[in-house]
Amino acid sequence: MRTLRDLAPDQTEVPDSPAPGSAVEERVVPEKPYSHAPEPSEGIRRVGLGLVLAVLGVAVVLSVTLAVTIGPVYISPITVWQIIVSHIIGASPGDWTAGQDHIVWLIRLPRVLLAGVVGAGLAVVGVAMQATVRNPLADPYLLGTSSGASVGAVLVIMLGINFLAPYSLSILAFVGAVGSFVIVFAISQTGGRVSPTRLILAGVATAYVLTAITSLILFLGDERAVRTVLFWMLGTLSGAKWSYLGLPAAALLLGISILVLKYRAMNALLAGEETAITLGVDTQGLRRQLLVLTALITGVMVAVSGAIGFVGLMMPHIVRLVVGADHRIVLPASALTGAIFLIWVDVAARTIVQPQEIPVSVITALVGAPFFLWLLRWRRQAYGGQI
Amino acid sequence: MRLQVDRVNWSVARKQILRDISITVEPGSITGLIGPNGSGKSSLLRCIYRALRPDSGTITLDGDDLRRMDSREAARRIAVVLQEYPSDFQFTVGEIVSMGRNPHKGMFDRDSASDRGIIRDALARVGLAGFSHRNFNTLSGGEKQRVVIARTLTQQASFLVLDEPTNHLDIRYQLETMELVKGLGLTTLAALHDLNIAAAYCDFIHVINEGQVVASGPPEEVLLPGLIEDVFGVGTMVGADPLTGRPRLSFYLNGHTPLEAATTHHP
Repeated sequence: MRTLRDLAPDQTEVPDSPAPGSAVEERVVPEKPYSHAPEPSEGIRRVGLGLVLAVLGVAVVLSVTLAVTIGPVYISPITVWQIIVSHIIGASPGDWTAGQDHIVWLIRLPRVLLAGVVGAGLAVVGVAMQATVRNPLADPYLLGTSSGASVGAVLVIMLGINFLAPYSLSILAFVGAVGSFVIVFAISQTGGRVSPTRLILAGVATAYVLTAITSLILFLGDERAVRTVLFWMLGTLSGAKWSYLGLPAAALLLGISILVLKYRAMNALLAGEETAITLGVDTQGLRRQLLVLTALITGVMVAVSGAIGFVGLMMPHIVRLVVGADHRIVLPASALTGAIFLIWVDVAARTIVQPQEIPVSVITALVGAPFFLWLLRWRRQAYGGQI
Repeated sequence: MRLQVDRVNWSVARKQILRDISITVEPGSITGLIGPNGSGKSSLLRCIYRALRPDSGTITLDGDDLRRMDSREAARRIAVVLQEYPSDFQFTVGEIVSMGRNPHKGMFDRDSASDRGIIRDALARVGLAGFSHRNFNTLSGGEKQRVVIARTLTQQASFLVLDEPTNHLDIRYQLETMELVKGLGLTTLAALHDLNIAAAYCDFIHVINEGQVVASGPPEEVLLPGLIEDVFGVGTMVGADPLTGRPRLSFYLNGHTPLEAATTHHP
């Protein structure tokens, strides 16, 4: 049978231009539906996976090294590595002082590594949360996790809870974080389904309630403890020890491995809820897994570092600008970028007004929020600008 | 591949949306689903692509119950073009199209050379060869629709579901999309709001009103003034399309006499 197309005159070479002086031109973007030649590349996106990870990996190693050299006492990068290697292979001490050894191995290195692990963890959780609720503004604390952790931490500090010391703060912070997640998750379920919108609303409302409880305890409690609490709530990596590193590092590695294996399903979820179903993704099951995973990782991170904002929100966006939205690349790249970012934020936190320390969230917000706003201006076509 | 929907009921908040719906889509046909807004077209499609679970009734594909399949197997047999686009995240055309490989891939599988070949072929088939690295959000409506159709091709399913594929498209894109779908030769079920498009492209039409099938048959047997009056609440004059010879419909609101208008324009 002949088709409509066959009968129509061949128009493929004729650009459809409006008559002169007509007010038809309402499209902002000129459309070229029949030009099938590839367009010039769109900025710096679409760099190879291997190259991105290699560059970021080198940057992480450099950042760790330099961050350890920086402090009240400068220690050269070579000495830093000599000390690290001597501890790893158990070699006898070389030509560095016991003080330098102590500073590098017991004070700065665990702290820098913890900053890296927490930064990576929060960034990865940010990616997962944004996919889970299909909203680019989601962050690890969306489920009221940080407010729940704060309640736990405040209880420990204000009431002087001592059982399980010295880990009582971390443990109660973790319990608070996961507990608030359970509440939010339960509320956001309707008929066995979790809707992203309900999740966001339940998370925001629960966070308000928990923040109010924290404020109330603070208001009624001992004034001297308030400063400690405030510092914790704004995030800090001071007091990091090797013993704090194991659990967060394990949680990070486990989490990122599981998420990377699910990259196809996470991509499909970003394409749309029903689209994902038609592509063979059990969206409800996937969403549950992602939520439990993110709550646990966030809980572990908050327990060791306090609530550090902005990393989980920003890192995924910055990474997507360079590598696009494919989770196979976004997940590992976000982890490495988050690690680098938080390592340097922590360097700033402990050096800018030494010997005082600035809470980490103060810096992440001061640096992060303006950058984010600039990003929104710069990338106007992203985040709904095109639609 | 034959789709058989048998006495499907579905209700939400005590409102019955689908009532005892039974339809068949014959292998190789393009079957249209028409009906006014809220008639249950989309709900029926959603039951078929498993976004909704019917309260009762069965939906089978060549005799296999869709509900008994796991989600990946179902996705290897049914591909769907929805009206839903990713907007806030920056995917490339290639990434969107490669999502169609998801149901074929286990958790530890990586994209192979054959996957990349399938993706490339799919893009070429919809006329978008070389678009792989373009940002999806910068494409025109017609191009986006073709990208989504290319994605369904990489699913390698033999049954295609389309939910109002010509919605919001300029007339040229509408025709292009329908020609493309026709050229694929897949068993196709499409919800269509444009009755003239349905008349021009469908081999068979099911008319749905208030959650029930009220008529089924080839376009020329179904698209009759009486039925359209009952279902859509408008008057219709049916003629023959000068290009295709298929039914062509002109509509008027009740209370407005069409003959006056007709005589004014064609004295």
